[in-house]
Amino acid sequence: MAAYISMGEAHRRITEYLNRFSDAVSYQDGKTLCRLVSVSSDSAVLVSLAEALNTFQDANRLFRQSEKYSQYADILLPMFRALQSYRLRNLVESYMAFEKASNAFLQEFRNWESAWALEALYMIAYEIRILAEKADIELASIGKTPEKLKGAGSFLMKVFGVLAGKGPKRVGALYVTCQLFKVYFKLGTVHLCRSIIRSIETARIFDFEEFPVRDKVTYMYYTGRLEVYNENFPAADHKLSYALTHCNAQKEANIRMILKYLIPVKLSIGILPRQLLLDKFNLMRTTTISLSNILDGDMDTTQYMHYDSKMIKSIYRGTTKYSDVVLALKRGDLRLLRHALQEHEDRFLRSGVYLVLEKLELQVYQRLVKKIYIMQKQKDPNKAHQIKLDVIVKALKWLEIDMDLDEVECIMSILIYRNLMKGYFAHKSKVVVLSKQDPFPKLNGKPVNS
Amino acid sequence: MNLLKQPGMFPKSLRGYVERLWLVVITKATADGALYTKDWDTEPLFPLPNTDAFNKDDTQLPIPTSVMPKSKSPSRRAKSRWEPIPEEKVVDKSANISYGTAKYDHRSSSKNFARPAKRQRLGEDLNAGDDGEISSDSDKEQNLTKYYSAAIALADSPEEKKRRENRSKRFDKGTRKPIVLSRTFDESGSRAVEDIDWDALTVKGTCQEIEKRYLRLTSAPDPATVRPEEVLEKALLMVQTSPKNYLYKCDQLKSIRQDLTVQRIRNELTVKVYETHARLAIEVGDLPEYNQCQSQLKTLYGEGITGCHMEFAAYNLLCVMLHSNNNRDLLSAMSRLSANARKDKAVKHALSVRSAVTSGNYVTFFRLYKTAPNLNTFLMDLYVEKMRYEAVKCMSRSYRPTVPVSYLSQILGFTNALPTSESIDEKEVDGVEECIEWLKAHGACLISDSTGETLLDAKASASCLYMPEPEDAVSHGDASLAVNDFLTRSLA
Repeated sequence: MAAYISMGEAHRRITEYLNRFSDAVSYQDGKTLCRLVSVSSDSAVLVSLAEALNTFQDANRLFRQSEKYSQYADILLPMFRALQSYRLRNLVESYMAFEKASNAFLQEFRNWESAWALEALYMIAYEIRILAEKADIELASIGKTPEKLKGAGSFLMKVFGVLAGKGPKRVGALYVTCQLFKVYFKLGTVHLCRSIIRSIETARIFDFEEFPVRDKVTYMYYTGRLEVYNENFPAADHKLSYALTHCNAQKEANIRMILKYLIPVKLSIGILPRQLLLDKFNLMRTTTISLSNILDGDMDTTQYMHYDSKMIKSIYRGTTKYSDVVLALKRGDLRLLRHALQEHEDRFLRSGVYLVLEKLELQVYQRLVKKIYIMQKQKDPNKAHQIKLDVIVKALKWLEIDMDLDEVECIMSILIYRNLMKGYFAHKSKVVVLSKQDPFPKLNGKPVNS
Repeated sequence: MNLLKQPGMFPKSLRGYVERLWLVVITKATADGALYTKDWDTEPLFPLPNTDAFNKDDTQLPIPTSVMPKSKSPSRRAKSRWEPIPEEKVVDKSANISYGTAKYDHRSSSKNFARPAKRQRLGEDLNAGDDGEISSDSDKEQNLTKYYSAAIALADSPEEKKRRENRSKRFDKGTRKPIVLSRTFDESGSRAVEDIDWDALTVKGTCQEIEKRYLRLTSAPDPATVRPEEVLEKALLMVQTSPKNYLYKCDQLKSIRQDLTVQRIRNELTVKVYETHARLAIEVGDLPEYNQCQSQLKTLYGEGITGCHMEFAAYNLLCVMLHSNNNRDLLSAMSRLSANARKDKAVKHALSVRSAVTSGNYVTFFRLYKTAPNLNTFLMDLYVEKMRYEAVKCMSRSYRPTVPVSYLSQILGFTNALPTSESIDEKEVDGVEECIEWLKAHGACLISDSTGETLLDAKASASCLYMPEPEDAVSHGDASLAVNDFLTRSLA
């Protein structure tokens, strides 16, 4: 409920805001400016300003009164409208006004020398995306086409263009790039990422190392995800690992998100999570070990949960759905893998890792055949390298997987073709003949041959 | 202002015109968020329409476009190969735009209906399906004058008045529909029947002809040429039971579709028509036409109209998989399947095919090929060549020393029956022969053993296999769709 405020008080608040704004610009105080434009935040300053604007309807007049303020009218009049609309929950109106304000802000920003206002520009970029998302939800709910986020994307491209120059402002380009990634991922138009990636990675004005760490982590996270979609696993590994290594250890939500994609990638190149985590979290050795045990499929989790570590709990929550997958890989248990895929089918499909995990089937088959080989070796080392197809079919039946000879023969053929087994298949005798040396090559960081 | 209060003083058609203008202004202002803030006292007026002949360098109405949705990069919908050949079309001279074949020349017809520019779209994109794309050429069409004058011609009918009422009511509710006649333009002139916005032109048909050729309408149709629903049902039945060829059926179906669209009939009959057309298209491999129908069906199913959802969900999945290497599209199609859909036989089959293709499992693929429900086989057909090639490559690397061709023939889908008895079936022999031909055409090395059986020499073949260039390459790239072929055979 809006409190009642007098005209005088309203006038005072608005004037105070205007003073703060123009002072921030005059003294090049980026931090303050930033706080003044965060329309969607529920900061006390902005809430009270909104109340004042509702009471004192003619803010226009205030601008005309003083030259100190009038130069910012183009930015602030629509900004005020955006704020009021936002608080009244007219999200489409709010977005459209904010877009106007942003464009005007960008014009001014161009004229300011040095990079003092970057933080404020970041806030504008962030806000425009958030407001656009909310506006689109409103549009969709009344049966119209949601197109504001697309518009926000266009604005962000403009911002990128302004920052892509030789001056000190260019370090802001990566932040804007990341905002664009978020827009494109949300819209499902990820192919549009290609052109900005090219700009960042090939333009001579940009030196990747100059960008702030936070932005580099976000950038690598998104480009890593794109590599996952394209099934370029070594590249995905490189980028997502970079993100994990440089990610602030306190930001457990971010760590969870990175692991969500990194774990399937690591599995695809034959690396189990234990090593992955030990590398990253070597500070808290005991908790790291317990976490990696969890991920390795040790089902008894009770002993770990009493660790009062927000991080552990958070990461655990985010990654348990992979523990069955990891266990299936270790055991060669095809049934378990399929069960895990089915159980979390929706989530895996939505995050896009389903196809990656499905491809792990071949590694599971490999493990199964290897186990048979090891057992045979124990019984009779001389004959171990020849495995009858019958035996494999029986092993699968024992796992409750019903496949006939032709199907299993096909799988064996594929395993050999993809270098997961060295040897050949003798069709007439229905025997897999394994090479005596290294019959089950490890992936060692390379994805399964395709 | 007083003038408007004197009824009867001005032609009704002028009222209609003014009402449309009013709608234009209000809609635009609301979209801008400026309805209450704009200074209406000083707002510039639109230039008045003139009734001169079509003038290429027209002035357009100054409707600012800052709130127009940004056009997508123009991508042409693949022209359906089954468009009736232009010369055969009987053109109704009284109301028709002559598009010509490559470019369009608007001066050729005296009563021209210029298409309004993209800019005049007052509201959002109203794509019924995703195939409608905006071509930047539509910008060249700026003659609002002609649009209004033609619209005025309709303004007098009682149906039109009712429609006007409905339109303003619709506007009140906040949903907006652009009052334009056509929204999209494909340079080569092939658009889906459904792209034209018939909102302004809905009629109730009286024609009783069961058989009717497709004439693309570009203006208000004469009710005497449009068939009512009962007749259309009979027409559909006629097409379904006709022995004539695809070109004929396609033409008839397009005509039925147009009659349905013109009368805004969207019900089970509509769904049946699209399903029929889609199935025929799949059978002959006319994928662009199939895609058109599929996107219409998606919308219709989405409106809750019953039909063969599952059958078409399966086709959709197979198409996405077979036609795009894009994992995102595939994942998206898979995640959109409801839990119920995933239990349906046809959908399950499609999902299994997907899995087999992704893993390269040729044995499963060809087994699924033999047991495919509905028309799934036809869509799998598009992938058979690739699967066979990958399979032989795989086996050449992994088998030693040889593989009997009879085995290959069976697992690669050349023979239909599993060899159960000693006596060799004639069909089976044919299958093996076909398999041998295929293998040879792909560079495989074949040898005979002591019993005369043909074997694949795996090691030798491994380095010799290749994918041959498609023979009889036709300009549209698909030999099976050579038009001449088509005109000479008829599909039972």
